[in-house]
Amino acid sequence: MDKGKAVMGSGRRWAVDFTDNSTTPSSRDIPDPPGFYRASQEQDDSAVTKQKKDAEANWKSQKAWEVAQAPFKNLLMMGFMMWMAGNTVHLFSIGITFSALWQPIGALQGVGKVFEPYKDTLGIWKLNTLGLLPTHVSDWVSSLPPAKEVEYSGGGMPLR
Amino acid sequence: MEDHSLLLLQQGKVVWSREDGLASIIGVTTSELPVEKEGVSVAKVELNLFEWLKGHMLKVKGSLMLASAEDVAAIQGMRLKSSEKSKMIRDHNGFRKLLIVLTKSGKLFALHTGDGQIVWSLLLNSLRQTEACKNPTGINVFQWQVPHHHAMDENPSVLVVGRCGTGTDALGIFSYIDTYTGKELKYFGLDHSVAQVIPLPLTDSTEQRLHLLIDANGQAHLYPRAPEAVSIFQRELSNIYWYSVEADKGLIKGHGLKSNCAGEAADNYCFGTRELWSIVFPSESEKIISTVTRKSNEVVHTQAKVIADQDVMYKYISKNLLFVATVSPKASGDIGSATPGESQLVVYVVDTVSGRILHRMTHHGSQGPVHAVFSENWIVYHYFNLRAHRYEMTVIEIYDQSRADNKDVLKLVLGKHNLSSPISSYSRPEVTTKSQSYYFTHSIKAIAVTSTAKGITSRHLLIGTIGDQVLAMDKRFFDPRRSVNPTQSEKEEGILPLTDSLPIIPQSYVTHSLKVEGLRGIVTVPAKLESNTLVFTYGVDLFFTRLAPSRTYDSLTEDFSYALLLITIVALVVAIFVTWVLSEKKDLSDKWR
Repeated sequence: MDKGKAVMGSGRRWAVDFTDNSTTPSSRDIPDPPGFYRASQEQDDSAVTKQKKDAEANWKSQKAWEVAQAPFKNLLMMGFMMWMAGNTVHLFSIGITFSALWQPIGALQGVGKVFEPYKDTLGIWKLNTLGLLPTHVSDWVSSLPPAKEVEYSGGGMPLR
Repeated sequence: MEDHSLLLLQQGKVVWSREDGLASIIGVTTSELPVEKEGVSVAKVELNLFEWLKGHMLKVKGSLMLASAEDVAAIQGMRLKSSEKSKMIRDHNGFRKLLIVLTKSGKLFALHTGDGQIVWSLLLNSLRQTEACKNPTGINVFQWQVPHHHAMDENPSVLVVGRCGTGTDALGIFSYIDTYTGKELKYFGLDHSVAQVIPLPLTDSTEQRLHLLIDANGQAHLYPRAPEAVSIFQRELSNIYWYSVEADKGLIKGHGLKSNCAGEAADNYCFGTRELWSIVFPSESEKIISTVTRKSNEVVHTQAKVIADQDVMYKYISKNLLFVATVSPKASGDIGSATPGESQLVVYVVDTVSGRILHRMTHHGSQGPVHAVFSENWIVYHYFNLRAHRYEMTVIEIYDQSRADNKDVLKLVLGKHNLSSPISSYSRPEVTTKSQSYYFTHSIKAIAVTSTAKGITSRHLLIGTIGDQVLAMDKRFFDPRRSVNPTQSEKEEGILPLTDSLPIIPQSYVTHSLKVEGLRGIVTVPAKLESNTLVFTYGVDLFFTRLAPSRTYDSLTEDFSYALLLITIVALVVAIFVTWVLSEKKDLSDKWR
């Protein structure tokens, strides 16, 4: 409109310049066409903020997932170390087994409480495969003294 | 001399004497040394200050190489007297004991296990030639009184049983000897013969062991002749049996006891016997050459044997088993007197209470002489295989199949099992046996097994070879579960791969480079320390040593440096303190930042 005015200069307005007036606030003197609502502008804003919020939320959830998955990754690593420790009872395997057992007690203060029970069972399962849990008969019979005999018998060849 | 000793007499004086009676030992038993008591001087030589000073001067001279030959001898004598191993008091590990040996001449010696010195010797009056007894002979020596609970102040004593002549119907002789002083406490002649002496597992209130003597007519006599002994015996009368092995008739008979004697000499201490069972061996094909039983004072630690995969087998441990070896009469002579086709060796494991034959095995083409040892639930015996022209050793292990179902862990944990309840031979439990044979290069003269105080240490077999040496072989070589290709779990258990012959490792000779000339017997005595056992072999020479079959796992080595341990502990405590202080300082400075 300024342009049109600037061109004419003499006061005769017969050319209308169809410039974009959606964003300029000076278009207020022209009434809106019927059916046109100004509320759609706020919607576009919220879309941006929504995008921003979405991005934020995504980032937050991603971080949360990372934090949540960290104990699980730890569990996998511990499981691999257990497997490397082997089936025989050596110093290394004993150390790894006991560190696996003490870890859940240390992890009580941390995030990831949901994975604790799996750590416990992993330690116990390793104990079981190493054969250290007293679940077999042989662990309980070694202290059985021989049974007493009711009869006593002596003798042999006649003494010469 | 009457006691088989040699003397050199020169112009009426004895220059030297040797106790050569020790070359004909017929019986060995042990006795503990006295406990160290306060205020009692146990050293034979009382050292006063002057003598101690003189001894010290001599030792200094010796170390400075200024000592003369007599001084060196004196120093040596002093060292021997004051050394730990020849003290006359009991020691903590049970290594110092007295070996009471009875020789053929009727003389009793007490040898100190530390250095073999003769602590006392006694020519038994009971076994000397008298008018009544023209030819007395000793039979054996037994433990009579071993006070440890009730009669603490009394000295232990041993019983020597002899007989008046050489026939089996000669009257018997009893003799009690105090082992601390070496004095004969009492001796008397018996009014019956002695065919067998059975020490019972019963003791009276003065800790005297009850003995049952069977005479040639099959009557049983109880000693000591005291009413208390009779009452203790009457309680157990129905559970005591005895058996007799008559090799010339090929019979084994088992007897029970009746509550009194028949006959004119009936008194309270005489008990009749009745025959319960008999095993008759066919005389045309089997002749008894060897029998062996378990030692009555053997200790077995556990009745379960843990095998691979944490499985359990239950041993059949019964003190009433008898191992009998018979050969065909043609092959009962020297090796080579019969062909392999007509000689066979048959071995039996017999329960002597019920007469049940638990196991029988035949070795075709084999013959004696058979040397066997029976311990826990296994028997190892040695014989000659004519077909292979080699000596062989076979092991038989007996397992209780009736207990094999006790595999419920919960029941065992809660104690709801019957594995410790008393067992009876009449319950006829089902048994299984495993056996295996191996070749062995040597001929042997005697065989024994190590015994320890609690039976936990693994056992070694002590084999007295024809070369008069003693070889110690681990029992793991005689494991019937050996196989050519052991599985992984069997290897973990410690089972050796099967080879056809037993390896003779030169380092496992107990006698090192020495020879025990004329080796006749090997006796093992448990020491108080579980990992050690004492071994005494006799023949013409005497040999004594101490073995640790599983190495000394229950005591520190002699050169353990306690000083280093103390220094380490002190250094660690100091380091802990220093680092604690430093860390406190660091925390404080961090908080102030």
